[in-house]
Amino acid sequence: MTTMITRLVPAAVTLPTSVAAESTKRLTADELYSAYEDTVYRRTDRFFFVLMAVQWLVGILFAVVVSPRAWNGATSSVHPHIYAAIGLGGLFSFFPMLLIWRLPGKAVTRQAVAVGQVCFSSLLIHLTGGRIETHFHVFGSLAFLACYRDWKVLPTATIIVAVDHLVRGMWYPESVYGIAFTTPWRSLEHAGWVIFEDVVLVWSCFVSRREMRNICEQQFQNQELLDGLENRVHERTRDLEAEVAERRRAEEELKTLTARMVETSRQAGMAEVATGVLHNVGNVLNSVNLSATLIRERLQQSRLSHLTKSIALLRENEPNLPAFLATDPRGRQLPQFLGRLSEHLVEENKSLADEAESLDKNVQHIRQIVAMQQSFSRVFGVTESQQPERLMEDAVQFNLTAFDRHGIKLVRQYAPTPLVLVDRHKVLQILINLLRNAKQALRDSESVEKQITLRIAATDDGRIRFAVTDNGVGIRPENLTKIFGHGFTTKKDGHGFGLHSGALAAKEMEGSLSVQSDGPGAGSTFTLELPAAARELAA
Amino acid sequence: MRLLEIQRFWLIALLIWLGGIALGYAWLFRYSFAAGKAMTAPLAIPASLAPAEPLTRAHLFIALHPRCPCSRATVRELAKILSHSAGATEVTVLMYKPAGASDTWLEGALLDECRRMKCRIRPDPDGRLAASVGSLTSGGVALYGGDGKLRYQGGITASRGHEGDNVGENAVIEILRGNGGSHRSMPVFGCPIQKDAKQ
Repeated sequence: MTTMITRLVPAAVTLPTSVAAESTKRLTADELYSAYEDTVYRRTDRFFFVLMAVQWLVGILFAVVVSPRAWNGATSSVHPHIYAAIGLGGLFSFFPMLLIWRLPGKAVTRQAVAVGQVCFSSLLIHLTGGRIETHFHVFGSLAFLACYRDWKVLPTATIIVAVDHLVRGMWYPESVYGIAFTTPWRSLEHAGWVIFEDVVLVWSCFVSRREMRNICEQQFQNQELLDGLENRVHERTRDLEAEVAERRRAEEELKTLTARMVETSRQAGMAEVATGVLHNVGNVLNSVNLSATLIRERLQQSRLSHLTKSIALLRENEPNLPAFLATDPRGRQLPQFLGRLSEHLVEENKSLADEAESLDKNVQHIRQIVAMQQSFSRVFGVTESQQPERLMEDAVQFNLTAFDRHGIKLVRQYAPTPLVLVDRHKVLQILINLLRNAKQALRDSESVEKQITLRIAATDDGRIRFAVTDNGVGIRPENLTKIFGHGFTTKKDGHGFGLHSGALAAKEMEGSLSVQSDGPGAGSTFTLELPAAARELAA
Repeated sequence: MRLLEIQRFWLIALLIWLGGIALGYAWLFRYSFAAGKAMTAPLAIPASLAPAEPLTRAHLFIALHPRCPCSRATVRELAKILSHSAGATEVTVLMYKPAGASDTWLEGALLDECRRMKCRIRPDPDGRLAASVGSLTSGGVALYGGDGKLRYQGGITASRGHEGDNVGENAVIEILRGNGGSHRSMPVFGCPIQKDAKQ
């Protein structure tokens, strides 16, 4: 019996749908217990719904098989036992089933089930002529009723069984005991056995309910623990979210600062380029100025006026020109004078032409510088396929005058390479900066033969390498790791933007900027690597 | 308020239901206790049933409708009587069949049971033989002593289809044991053998 109860009753609380829907609100132990009770009541109701329907149908089947027809001579009719099985069995079953359907889990339903179930036992006992075996239906029914875990249904069932046995035992003992003669003691004996079972079942109900309450209290404690844990998780999640938001904000700020710094460094680079341009233009303008002064002085010192005086003397003596040339001392010197004047004017003209040519060259140079500056200062951000050599040479142009001035020799080692897909101006900015740094390293060096080697080559991994090598002052090993850091500089007038922004720009173009130096006095090599254009790679 | 009305509704329904149960039981008990009709048995064994050989012990005639479900209890009570009286009586089963029906109409559990008890089986067209010993209802018994005189007439069950000790059965056993017996007649519970023997 205990096994049966255990099998019918799950160990865990299954909350009804209505309660589960409110699970967002934490239930107290009492509420959980009520929900558990309700679950047990409803589940047992459903069990009895099926049991009563099956009992009813089996009862009808039994009546049909055992007492199909009542006979009256040669004629027959449906046996009244079939009507009893349908009518009375239905009466016993229908109302409890109706209550189970309409009022599941209610006390009145359980009580009606108890009444109906033992009435069914009573009917079976009667119809089987009080067979003692049929009495087991009473004990089975009581055990099933105990599945409600509500001891109050057991007295109801027991009272009905006792009254039925006592009344029928007194007035109709055959229907309950199968014998015509009995005493009230027999009814009391039956009642005693029923009470014996009741004691066990009531005890099991109390034990079971105590276990239910323990489970609910345990579940409540678990809920509390869970709540605490959830709160901690929520708090931690909020902290983490705030932390993540803070980090994102910091990242955004860093991005903004980096963008500003890049822009600032770009502008600084532009300013440096502009300064270089102006410096170059200024140098050329000196030459222009010199040429112009020379031309002006030559023109001021020109002996062209002597020609005018000679022509005026000839016109003055035009009527007697042969005599003048032959006899007059001025006339006799005049042809020789004109010859020397002519030679002098030719020489002067040549000198002026040379100066004019120089002037023209200088003007052309200025135009070229200005054009280069205009080209450089176009809008950033346009990625295009570029010839690596062209990029290097354009960068060289910005520093060419300075190289000449400092007596720096340029060595070019350009290998055939594919195009690079880059932002031209960023590359120029980097290369100009590298060349200027090389020039400064050489300027500060005591090296006799100052040389910058420019190399361009393709790497095995599909990149283009630009290398600027000087034999200048070199770099200390400890500075090699810091040289691209923001604000790091070894120059008195440096601000530490150039290489830092160059490295950032190279990274933006999916490239890299690196340095190599064997130490002070050993020169240095800066290497810019950029991705080759895909089309060129495919080719 | 509405809940109260619903509860009141279900309370009334519960009372009606309990009343219905009581009425149902009343109807069932009334049916169970509805005794069949009987006529007074002749005081001596009628000629139509008189055995060929002289009587040496009691003779019990029992009328059975072979298809009466209630008579199973009667046959089982008969078995008890025979086991308690240790061959004190001859038993002749007057097994009803409609006139003109073949003997296969008799076949069934009751006939088999009677054969097992080694009873004498006599087909009884239209129940005429049963009527000759006053039995108009299946389960009716007429017990004649070894002297041929009527000792008991009536049923050997307490109600329809109910096995178990009862007054009629005990009376027959007592008579067969030679103790006289307290009752001479009891109601018979079973299916009518003849149409005019309706309960």
